[in-house]
Amino acid sequence: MRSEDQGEFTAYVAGSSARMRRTAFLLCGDWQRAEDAAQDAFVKLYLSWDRVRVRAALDGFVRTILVRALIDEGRRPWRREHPNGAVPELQAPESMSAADRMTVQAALARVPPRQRAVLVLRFYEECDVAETARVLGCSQGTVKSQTARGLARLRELLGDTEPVHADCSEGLT
Amino acid sequence: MSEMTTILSAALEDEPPLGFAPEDVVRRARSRRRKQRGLACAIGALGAAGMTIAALTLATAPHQAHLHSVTALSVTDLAARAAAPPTETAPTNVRQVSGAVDGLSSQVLPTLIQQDTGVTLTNINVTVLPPAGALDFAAGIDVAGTPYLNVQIAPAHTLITETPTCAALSDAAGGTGDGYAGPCAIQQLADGTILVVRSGHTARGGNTMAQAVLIHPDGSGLFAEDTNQTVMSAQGISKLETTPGNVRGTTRLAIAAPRVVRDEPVLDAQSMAHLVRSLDAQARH
Repeated sequence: MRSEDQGEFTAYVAGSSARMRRTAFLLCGDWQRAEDAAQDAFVKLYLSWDRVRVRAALDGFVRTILVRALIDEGRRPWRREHPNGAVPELQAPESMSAADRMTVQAALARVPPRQRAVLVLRFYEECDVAETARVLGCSQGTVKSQTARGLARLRELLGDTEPVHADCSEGLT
Repeated sequence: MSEMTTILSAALEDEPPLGFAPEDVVRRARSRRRKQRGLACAIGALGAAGMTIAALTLATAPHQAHLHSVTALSVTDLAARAAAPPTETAPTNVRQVSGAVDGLSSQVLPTLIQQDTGVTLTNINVTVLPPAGALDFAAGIDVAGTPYLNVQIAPAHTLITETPTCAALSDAAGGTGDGYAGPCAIQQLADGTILVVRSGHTARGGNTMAQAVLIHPDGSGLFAEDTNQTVMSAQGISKLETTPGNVRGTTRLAIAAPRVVRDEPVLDAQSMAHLVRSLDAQARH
């Protein structure tokens, strides 16, 4: 890697590592795994730097590596989503207690992996439907349906008052 | 949507401090690239007192031994291990050997290889690679630039017997391959033995190789690779530097990357395939 590329790469990592780690955390629910996944995605970016012609697309490139690395739905068919019923209204807390935060994290961890990825990409990364579809390698229609189902599932889980223990390994590798 | 964004953001409120810096990423990436391509600096642990750098007449010692100490080697691991000159082990592991693996002794190997390939070899060095005891034969081909030829003979239970894919073998971006892109053929022989024959070039640096691997169902096998890079010699050892806090606090030995000395390897992939099959027949004779 040339020195100017090296500088560009370093600056990009410095500016995006925290955000990518947060995205990874929302996908897997474990900060350590999120950090490893983010680092690994940046390593792969470094190794592919010459092939990433459009620097404006770096976020999308890293995001794709990250999301696909953390989703392993295909290998764990028993983790596939189940249809859900009623959808309670979502309450958006202004300030969360630690217990509430854990409940949210646990609920997020129980949303099926691809639905979770759709929610994180669309509502945290603020990707549009097309970009989300590209990252996940699926159709825009699938993104829309997964969004609706993911939201419904999360609402359902947050409607539960029973605390749920977070298990970051659920549905993810 | 704003509610959802708030929920997600709230889940992040206990975020711990970031545990890595861009420099860490660069370091890891370079390390991975070294393993994949076996081109960059080698790290040697000079643990044994009285051992000298001159012991490294050829830098063909095993590298990243920890990668191979527990699980069997994949073809890519084997290629990386063969191509990379470094050693993480003490120079006591860099030695001429008189042993044999699967009936092939280090004494007869040079003759067999020269007879089969028709090339003249120079700077021959044979070592035993820990932990499994594979025989590692490294030499320069006696033409301009003395390009590197490597043959490894692995005992049973050393190699991963699962059939690899050509894509995985070259997939540098995915971290599973050695980064060489080019023709590749994987053949299952009648007795269940797998024969991998491939050649390729790296995206950068102009490195090319021709390679063949024979993997028997019992995890034994042979690996042969010719490259367009010069064999490492003592002159390739560019500098010594002490790195405080290095692994086990040892001295760090940096060896210059092998130099590309020609466009293509002297021997092509078919020659490598013929060589591994010929040596395999000798071993089983």
